[in-house]
Amino acid sequence: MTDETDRSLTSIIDDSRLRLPDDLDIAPDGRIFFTEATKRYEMTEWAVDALEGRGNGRLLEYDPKSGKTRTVLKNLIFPNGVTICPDGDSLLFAETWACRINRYWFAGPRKGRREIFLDNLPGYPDNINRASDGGYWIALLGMRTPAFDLTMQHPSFRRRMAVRIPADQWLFPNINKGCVIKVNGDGKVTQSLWEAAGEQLPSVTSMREHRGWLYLGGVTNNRIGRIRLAQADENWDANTAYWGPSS
Amino acid sequence: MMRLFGRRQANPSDHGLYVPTMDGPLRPNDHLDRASIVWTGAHIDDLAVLNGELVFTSKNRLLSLHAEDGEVTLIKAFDRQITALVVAASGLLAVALFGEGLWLRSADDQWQKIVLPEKYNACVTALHFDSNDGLYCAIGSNANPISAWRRDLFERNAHGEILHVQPAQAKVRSVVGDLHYPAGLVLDGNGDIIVAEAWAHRVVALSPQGALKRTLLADLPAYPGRLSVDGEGHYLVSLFAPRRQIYEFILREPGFLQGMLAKLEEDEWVGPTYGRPRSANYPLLQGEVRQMGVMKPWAPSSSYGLVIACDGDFAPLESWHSRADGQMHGISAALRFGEHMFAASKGHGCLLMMRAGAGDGH
Repeated sequence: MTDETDRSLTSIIDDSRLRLPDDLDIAPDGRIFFTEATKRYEMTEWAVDALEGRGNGRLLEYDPKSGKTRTVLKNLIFPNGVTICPDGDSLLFAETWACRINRYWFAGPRKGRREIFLDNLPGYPDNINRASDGGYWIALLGMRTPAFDLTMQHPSFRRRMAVRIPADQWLFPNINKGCVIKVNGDGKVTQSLWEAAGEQLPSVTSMREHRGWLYLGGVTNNRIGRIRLAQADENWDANTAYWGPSS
Repeated sequence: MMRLFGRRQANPSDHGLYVPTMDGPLRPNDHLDRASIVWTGAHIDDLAVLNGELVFTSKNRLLSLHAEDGEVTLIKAFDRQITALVVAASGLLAVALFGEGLWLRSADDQWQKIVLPEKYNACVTALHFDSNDGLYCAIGSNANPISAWRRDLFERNAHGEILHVQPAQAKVRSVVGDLHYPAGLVLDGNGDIIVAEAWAHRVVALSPQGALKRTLLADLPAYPGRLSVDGEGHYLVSLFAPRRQIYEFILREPGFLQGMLAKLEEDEWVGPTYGRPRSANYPLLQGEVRQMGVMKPWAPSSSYGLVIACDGDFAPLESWHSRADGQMHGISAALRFGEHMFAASKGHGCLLMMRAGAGDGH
């Protein structure tokens, strides 16, 4: 459907081509909102973007009516998970290395506004999905560590580290853990699910609630986990809730 | 000029950010993980042989392992932590007590206390008797207590010292100072002092007056600690934590280093440890990422188990390892006793026994 967007005016390198599209959701009017986590690195080099920690990513919109793609927001810090809010006018997107969730209005009276929905997370948010109770599930792909936080205050230190020592010795987000948090519609954290040992399901990057279960995936895992949700509606599934019953 | 390029030497045996790979007699294996565990206790530290039995220290306790039945009995419990232990050929035993000094036990079980000056008594790392029952003491650092060895490393100190103590006169003499954390000490057949300088990653021979005679092992891939010598004149070097390029790198990054020491809790530091870090805030390195539930044995873990056997000229012969996916890390002491080698894993908290020479490191 799309593999390019408008080129940035000031970019010397042609940045119109998409390198690392990361997540998408479809608005009620059919427009597809998606993120490109970074326009500087490939998927296999995401750790380099973490060390760079800059606004290398963007939020894009593909409109099937016009067949065109445009950049909605740029200079985002590894924009990752996207989900349309139940109001149908706004979406949430994660900025992974900034450890925050933003809300952006793409329609309605607040169109074009962007707000911080949830800030200073203890880990790096990946995908976001709607929950049956009107809240959201957020996967944390890894946890912050005080040492890595300290490196984020020293950009030239990070650059020298990347240049002078091999990649296996780089300081890194602690992705040997699995964590999913749940927030309500106001951005308040109400629950956290952990795999602290990191042996069964480390680095959970996506999750989906479906008929009373929460399914858990991770891009580096060879397995999918699931958890029975105690108070969830067993008849709820995300597609029907969003699009209505299929005809 | 060297400083300008960020490659200032941290110490004399330093070659930039290079950490040697383990090869030849140091080729990795899992011999320490396959050894028998003969005793378990979190604070095991130093080992010696007394009257045909293995004796060892654990926090404030001096313990004995009976050869026949494997029973462990208490020889003496002190008020303070024992930081080093040695037994002379004559049967004289000495321990160093944290914050106090030395206690000597004669062959007829009489104890004598020797108080050390305050700047020496918090970091006695190793002891060795000379042929006249004089005692050499390795002081890791005058600047930090023994528990703060990681701080001493990151402060890039060379505040170690070797003392000579004559128990009869309770006389203490400084042999040599400004050492890079001497963490192990033995005497060779000529009376030369062999010292493991941990922060300089080397083992050196000093004259009885403290002059540097030779570097016996240089550029080790891990921080050398206690040394032992067997009846054949062969040596065992216990290396208590691995060197990593990231540690070498941050040692040359004063800004980050100061921030780390000032702002972070110690279990959040990037640096070597005796055992597997337990803190949830442990700083992970990329190579330590567990994939498909598996920790790679070659991961750049902060802890490692390593004992190197050397001949009388300190040429490495073989080695015993516990790699990143193993448990028996932080070997604080090892010695040969009869047909066996014993090693204290401070990282895992246990005493290990294996057949000497069974490990084929080649």
